[in-house]
Parts: sequence; structure tokens; C-alpha cells
Amino acid sequence: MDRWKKFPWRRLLALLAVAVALFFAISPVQGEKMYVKVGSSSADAVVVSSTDFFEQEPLGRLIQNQPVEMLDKTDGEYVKIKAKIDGKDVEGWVKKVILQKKPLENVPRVSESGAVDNASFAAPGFNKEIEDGMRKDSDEMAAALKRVDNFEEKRAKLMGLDPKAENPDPTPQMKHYRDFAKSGGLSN
Amino acid sequence: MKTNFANVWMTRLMIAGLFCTLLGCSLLNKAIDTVSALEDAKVADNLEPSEEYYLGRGVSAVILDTYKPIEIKTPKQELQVTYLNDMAGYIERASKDVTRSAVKLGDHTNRSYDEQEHVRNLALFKGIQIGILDTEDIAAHGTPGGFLWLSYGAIHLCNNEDELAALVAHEMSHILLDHGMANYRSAYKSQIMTSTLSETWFSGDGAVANFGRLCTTYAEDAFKGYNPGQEFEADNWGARALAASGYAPDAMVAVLKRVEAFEKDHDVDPKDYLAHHPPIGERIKTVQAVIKDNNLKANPKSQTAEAVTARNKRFEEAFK
Repeated sequence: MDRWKKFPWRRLLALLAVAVALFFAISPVQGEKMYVKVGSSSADAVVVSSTDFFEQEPLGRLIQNQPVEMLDKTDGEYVKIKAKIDGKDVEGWVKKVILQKKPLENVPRVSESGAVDNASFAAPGFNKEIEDGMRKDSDEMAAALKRVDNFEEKRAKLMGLDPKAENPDPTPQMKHYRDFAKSGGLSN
Repeated sequence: MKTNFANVWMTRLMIAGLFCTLLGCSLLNKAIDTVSALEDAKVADNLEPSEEYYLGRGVSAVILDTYKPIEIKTPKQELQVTYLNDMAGYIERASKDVTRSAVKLGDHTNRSYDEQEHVRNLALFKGIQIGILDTEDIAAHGTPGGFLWLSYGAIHLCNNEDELAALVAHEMSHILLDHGMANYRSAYKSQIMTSTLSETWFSGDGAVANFGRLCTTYAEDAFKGYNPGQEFEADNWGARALAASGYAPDAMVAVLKRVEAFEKDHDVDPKDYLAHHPPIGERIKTVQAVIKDNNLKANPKSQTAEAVTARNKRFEEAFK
């Protein structure tokens, strides 16, 4: 009994408290830095106040490759994050799938050889410059891509987005989706 | 004195134990990061969302060279495009929790671990964008990056909004489950990648020509249709997405029955899009089983007479 009384319980408790604090400090989830992989004109780039589609309010939008801090809260496919938006710290929810651990490389990885091999045929690196090159190489392709441009521009306008902006604010689009669901009596 | 001596050693042992535990955790994290980095290297040929978007634009251009899109000039056409894009955007957001696991979706397709991870984490650079093809042919084509092209012929097969939602959900699943790129990779492995169209358009070398070849080959594969396993998987995901969005999952069965009736009424040419789908009767039975086995039901509030009437009224305003 004496031995139990003299055992350093307080020290043990203090050590345990330190251990718990350290454990959470090095936790791989809380505070983990992630990067945004979608464009800022995607509705998924908007940080929202709630995971409920009908309740969520936009808090700000993220930009491609922006680092965000992943907080220790998830709800289905949503994760809570903290990010700097317009100079302010914003905490809210985004879909997990729009985040990745590494920043995007954004370097062309298409082979210059033109050889039909795995590297050149499957390799990515597609961007506006490559597309512009395609327009130059083929009048037919240029005309077909113009149809895609027209479609995207008109669709953007109809969805309440700025058709001329390179990365229009997608928030009005979210309102469109919600109004559509409400007017059709749809709920999830 | 003896007891104090023991306590000091006990404390030291505890500190050492905790230190080892923390060191172990840290090493474990490093090990997980290393494995994760190796996995990333293995899937290095997967496209980033922005790259899929540009590929989607290229593939769309090839599709629009075959089928002309509507001009979106008249108020009716504007209404149609807005309606379809609202519907697709809503379904995509409402079905965020619907599984993308090949096994849970009926085990109809074979995906490697890397491919399954890619599908699970697939995100669209600008979301879903639906356009209309100005033809009464039955045509529905999804591209990487979220472009979805539906023909008037495909839309007119549907008799109400829930059926149109079933068509949209089915086609959307081909994009979200990465079926097109999976076919493309598979075709490449089999060395099936000759493209007469690409030869006429792109004779030059280099990155641009490669991109052109990829777009045209991808689109030509899309014209041939997806493989039967992918169609079953798309029906399965689509029925789940309908239920998650408040639409009647049975609408997937209804729209398949309309396709069955269409096939009976028309001699489907082997070159036609529909001819490459698996037997329609089999698909109907499989979807019915999916709905029953998974107890898929829409939120009852979405299925009231008032809600159904409101949806069908706007469907008729847009497409009848």
C-alpha cells in the first residue's frame, strides 16, 4: 500500500497530458496542408458554411493550387478547412476530392518527339497553349473549338456567370442549382 | 530512500517509453508519406483536372464536328440549356456521397488500385457542362473534364423530368467513373489506336499533334460506345444518384424500357450508338435488382403529386 501511495501519480498524469498534447500536435489530419486542384470557377471551389446542400452559404472561393489547412472534421465527402481568402482567415466546408497533398506541377509533360509511345500518347500537359497550337495546325479543329468556346460562353451567361471572365465567380451557379431543386420539390 | 530511487527509475522509464512511442508515430507517418509518394509516382500518367478539362474541350470539338450543337439563340433554346445545366449541377452536388467503388457498383468493371483511387478522387475543373446536339439521332457523349453532349433524339426519348434526370445521371456517371479514359488506356495497351481522322487533321509532330491524336481517338472510341460492364456500372450509379437527388430511382428502369421500345420500333444499325450497348432486357433486370437490393428510394417529399406535377410542367415547357 505504501508503495502505491508513494507512486508519482501526479508526474504520470502530467506526462500523459504532455503525450496527449504532443499526439494531437503531430496528428497527420489536423492542420495538414493540402492544395486545391480545381479551378476557381468550379462550384466546388466555393467554401460553404454547411454540408447541407439546401442550407449552405458561400463563404469565399479558393483558387487552383492554393494551400489550405485541413481541420479535423469531416462529414461524408466534405472536409472542414481553413484558408486565407481575400486576406481573411475563412473556415468552412469543401469536398474532399478537390484537395490533394502536393501542389499541381503545371508543367507541360507532353513528349515533344511526336512518337506514338506510352510517354507521348498518355502523357498529360494539356493547357491553353497546346489548344492554341491545335487551332493553328488545323482550320477544321479551330472551327470546332470555336463552337466549344461559343457554347461555354453562352452557358456561363445563362448560369449567371461573367462570360468574359477567365475564372468567373461560380456562386450564382450554386443558387441556380438550389432554386432548380426547390422549384421541382426535390430534396435529398 | 529505496522507494524514491525506484520512483525515479520508474519515471525515467515512462519518459523513455513515451519518447519511443512518439518516435514510432513519427516514423510511421514518414513511412505512410513515402508509400503515398510511391503511389503518386505510379499514377503519374493520370491527368490533373485542368488537363482533363482541356482534353474535354478537344474531344468536344471532335464531337461537334460530327454533330452540330444548337446555337442557343432563341429563348426556348436558352431555357433548354439552362434547365439541363441546372439539373446536372444539382444531381452532381446532391449525389456527392454516392459510392464510386467498382465492387459496390456491382463489380462489372476491373480497376486496379491506382485506377480506383483516381476515380475516387476525380474532381471536375469547372463542374458539369451540358450542351445539346441538334439531331434526332440517339446520341449522348461525356468527355473528360465534365462536358456532356445530349442529342434532341436522346432527350425526346424521355417522357418526364425524372426520366430525363435518369439519362443525365447515367451519362454523368461515365464521366465521374472515368470510363472514357479507362477505355482509352485499354485500347492503347492493345495497340488499337489508328485514327484516320487524326491523320487528315494532324500530320505534324510534337505535343500539339499528340494532343490532337488523343482527342480524335478518344472521340472515335466515344462514338463506338462504352463496354457492357461500364453500362451496367453507369446504370447502378445513376439509380443511386437519382435516389440521392430526390428523383424516383425507378425512372432509370422507365428510360431503359423506352430505349427497349425504340430498339423494337427501329432497326438499330450495327453502326449506331445504341447497338453497342449490352442487351437492354438484361440491363432492366439488373437495375431493378439494384433498386430492390439496396432499398433505393427517393425522399417521399420529392414524390408528392405536387412536386411531380411541378417537375413535369417545367419539363414540358422546355422540351415539348
